[in-house]
Amino acid sequence: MKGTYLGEFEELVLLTVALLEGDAYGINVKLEVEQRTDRKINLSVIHSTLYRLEKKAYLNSALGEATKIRGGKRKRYFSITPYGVRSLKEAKSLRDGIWNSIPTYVLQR
Amino acid sequence: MVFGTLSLLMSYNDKSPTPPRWPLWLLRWFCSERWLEEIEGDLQEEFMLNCRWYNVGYARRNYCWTVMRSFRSYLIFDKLRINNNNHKNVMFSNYLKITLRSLLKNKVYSMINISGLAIGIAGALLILHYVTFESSFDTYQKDSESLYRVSLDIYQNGEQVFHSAENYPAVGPDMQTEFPEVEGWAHLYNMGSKNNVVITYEEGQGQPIQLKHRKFLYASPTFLSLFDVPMVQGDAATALAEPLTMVISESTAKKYFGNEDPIGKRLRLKDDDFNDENCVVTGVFKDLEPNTHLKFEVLISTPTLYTRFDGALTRYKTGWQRKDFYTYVKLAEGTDPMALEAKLPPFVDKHMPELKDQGGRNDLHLQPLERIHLDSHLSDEAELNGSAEPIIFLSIIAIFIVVIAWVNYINLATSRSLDRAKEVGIRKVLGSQRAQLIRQFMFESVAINLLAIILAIVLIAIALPSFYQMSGIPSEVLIWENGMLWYTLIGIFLFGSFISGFYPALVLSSFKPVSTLKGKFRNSGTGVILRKVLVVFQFAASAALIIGTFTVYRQMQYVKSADLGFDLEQTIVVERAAIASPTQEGRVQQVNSFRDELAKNPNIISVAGSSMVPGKKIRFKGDVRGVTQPAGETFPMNGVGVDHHLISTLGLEIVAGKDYVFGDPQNQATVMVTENAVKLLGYESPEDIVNKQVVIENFRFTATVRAVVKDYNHESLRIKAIPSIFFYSPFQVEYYMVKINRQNIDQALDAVKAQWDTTFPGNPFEYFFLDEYFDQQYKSEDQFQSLFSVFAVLAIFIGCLGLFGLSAFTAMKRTKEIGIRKVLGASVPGLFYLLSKEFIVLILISNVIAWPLIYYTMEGWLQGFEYRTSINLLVFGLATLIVVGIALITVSFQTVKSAKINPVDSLRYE
Repeated sequence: MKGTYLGEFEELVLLTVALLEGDAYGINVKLEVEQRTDRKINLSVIHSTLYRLEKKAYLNSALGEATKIRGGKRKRYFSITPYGVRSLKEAKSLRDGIWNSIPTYVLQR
Repeated sequence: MVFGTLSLLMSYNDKSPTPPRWPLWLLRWFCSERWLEEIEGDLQEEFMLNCRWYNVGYARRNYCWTVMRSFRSYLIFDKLRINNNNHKNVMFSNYLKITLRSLLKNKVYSMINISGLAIGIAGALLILHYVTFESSFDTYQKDSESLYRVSLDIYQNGEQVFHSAENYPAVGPDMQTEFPEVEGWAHLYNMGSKNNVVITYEEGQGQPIQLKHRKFLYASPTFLSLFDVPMVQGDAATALAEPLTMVISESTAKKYFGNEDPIGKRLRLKDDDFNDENCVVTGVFKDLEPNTHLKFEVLISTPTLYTRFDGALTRYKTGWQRKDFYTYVKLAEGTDPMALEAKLPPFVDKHMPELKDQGGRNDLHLQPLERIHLDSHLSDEAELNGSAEPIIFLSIIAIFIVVIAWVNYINLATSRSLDRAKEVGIRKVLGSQRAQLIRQFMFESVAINLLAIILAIVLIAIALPSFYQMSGIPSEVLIWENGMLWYTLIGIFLFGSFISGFYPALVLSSFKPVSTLKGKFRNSGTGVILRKVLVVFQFAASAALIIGTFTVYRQMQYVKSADLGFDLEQTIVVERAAIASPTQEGRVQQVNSFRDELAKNPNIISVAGSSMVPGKKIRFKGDVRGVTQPAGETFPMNGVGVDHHLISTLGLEIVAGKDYVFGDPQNQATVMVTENAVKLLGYESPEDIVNKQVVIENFRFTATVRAVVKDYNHESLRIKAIPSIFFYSPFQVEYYMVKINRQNIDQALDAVKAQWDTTFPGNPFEYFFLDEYFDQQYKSEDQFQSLFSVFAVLAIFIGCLGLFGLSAFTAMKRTKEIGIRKVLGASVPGLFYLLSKEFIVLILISNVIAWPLIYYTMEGWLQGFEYRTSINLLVFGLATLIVVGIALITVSFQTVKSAKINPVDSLRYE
């Protein structure tokens, strides 16, 4: 199970990378997740999640261009792999399945 | 490309904020190359964004924090894996592996080694924290090294009668006008013994907030700027310039005004001199650092005092009569305080020309601000100061402990050489250079020291709460913020790794492979001698500390249980009310009713009023002589105002004559003196002086002696009992002493409070127990005692760890010998004796060395007490017994084991 399991935060990051396709690097992902979840996230958490997702083959990465604001250091762009997309879909359909099975009167509470 | 570089250069030039450097170094050190570049880039980018959106400070903090948070295993392990291809790191990881193996192989040794070092380091660092705190007093003040307090010594007929921290109000301003090297001055008036003030906030909603204040001073307008008191609100230069203005601390402001703006609010001050002043808050200062000798929460401008009555300006600012102002001066850069002090006698003569004719002399002294806490023990100090002696003692102990721990390490490491001789032999055969072996052993020592330091930090964290309690350091002085601590830690680590690693490394690497592999290896004679010397040193230190602890303990017991000449037990003390009746009759009425009504309560044995309370210095001095003695030749004596209950309530003993009796018309015209005053006044025995007359010259009062009171120790036993003279003043009460029934303390306290509220409405009720109050004088001695004993135990413990390792080694070395002896019929007790003898001799030697050293040290310490126990030689014997006993127990773990071993096994050994 370990290795294929997608944690809540990992899923969030993975979705964000997919959303930012073409512009997904550390800072951008962090800002996007922060904005959407409305909570403070430490950059190091984003980094370790991204690398973990890459190790699990949900993400690919390549070094990009350097900018002045970055002190001349290059960015690493991430993009989601087909396997990553499939995992996201699986996760979604799993949830949808459960959603659909919840009795309606429960949801009306 | 050129343009890009150019703009990059420009961005460096236009002073854009930069993140701190050290986190980046840290990051580069631990972070894998694979991700380093983009992480660095992201960090930089986030930093710039944070600068733009928030501020630079936040951006920097966040940057550091993120780097710390990035300390993650995947980054580090990746780095280690990649670096492993490197030749140097192969050796490095090999050393690491060998170190771990040898640590794990000898778990007991490793534990002894590491925990011994750790305990030593932790103990030393805790002491260091205490020492730095105690010696840090007032050093944080701006320009603290150029600030001095002017103290006052008064001599009458060549004899010192007054040795005070307080001075004439005019000294500060006059010094500035007359000496160019005095750049600034400030003085504060603490109302001396009348410091009894209630401050009320009346204008708020609801019940007025009313608090009794002790940390309360009148300060000259110059004070805030001279001491650079950090202001939260208001201007330091002008806040205290006007009459009826005050500045208060942040927490005081919170108490009175909550979250409202305190500026412009009014607080009403009432004291027992019938001053009733409504002052405007003109400033709020940050709560003071705990390491200052001058603690205050409320400062009122001295111009307030000038408005009090006609001539108040002379009394409180320009006069040379009353001496009750703490006076501080700031000297210009490069001024020699000694040179300035030399100019002070003519300065005094100029302002007090009449003094010489009266046989008096005044000496002014400059006390460096930073040394007041440790060195100054004058009367009327603002705080109970610490003292320099224990600081020196404790520093020595701290050094001792660390050295003992290192000695241990060296001892254990060399004694383990036997164990590792074969390893060294094989390594040498396989081509190890000596330098490599040294490096390996040094590496082990570094690793062990590092582990010990980590453990030491954990130990400190665990011991911290009890340490704070024991040492009396306020817990808001965080030990982790003490920079000295970290430097020392690094110093101990580097020095310790080197010192403790170097000798074993040299010894171990010097073994000849042939002899070690043939099993003929025997340790060199010099190594054994060195080890013995080290053990002797350790146990000499331990024995000295034990004897020291016992002596300090005995002295403190003596001091606390000594007969003071009066009875402290079950007495509570209530200071007189700040707000009392405005008329003389009304006050007499109040004092009478409080005293008499309370005495009717069955839970209260007696109630007395007095101008003094034991344990508090008496400022009030009478210049007394016998009526037959020549005029002018007087003796200074403590002047005490008493009523007709005081002698019995305090259990003072009357040697001759009779106590004051209520209603006796003779009361006012008679005095009592203490026994030690009898001879001074020219009489042989107490009986002789009764009904004779004495003259109290400074009051122009001639009185008859009605009784002689047995000597009593008004203050700590550090000083001799002072001759005292008692006057009858039943209504000038400053302290009520209430002797209560021990069985019903709670009911008695309730009764006192109820009576207080009835007689003195509007005054907060506060009380203290006399014995606790009196013992506060020994606060620093108590702290010293507890620190001393704890660290003595630590030192012994560490010493034992060393002995344990050493005995194990000796036993191992003599395994064969023991086997043969057993075969030839030696008994187990006989072998035990044989093996222990060597150590006992060592320990006896170390005790003998310790005795004279500690004897002279403790003799010196005891000299500080006027009343002291003798050094008991039994203590020396006892300490020796303890040390030998502990050592025997420690050694027996090993010796019994080896004595019991089956000779078949021991003879096959090797």
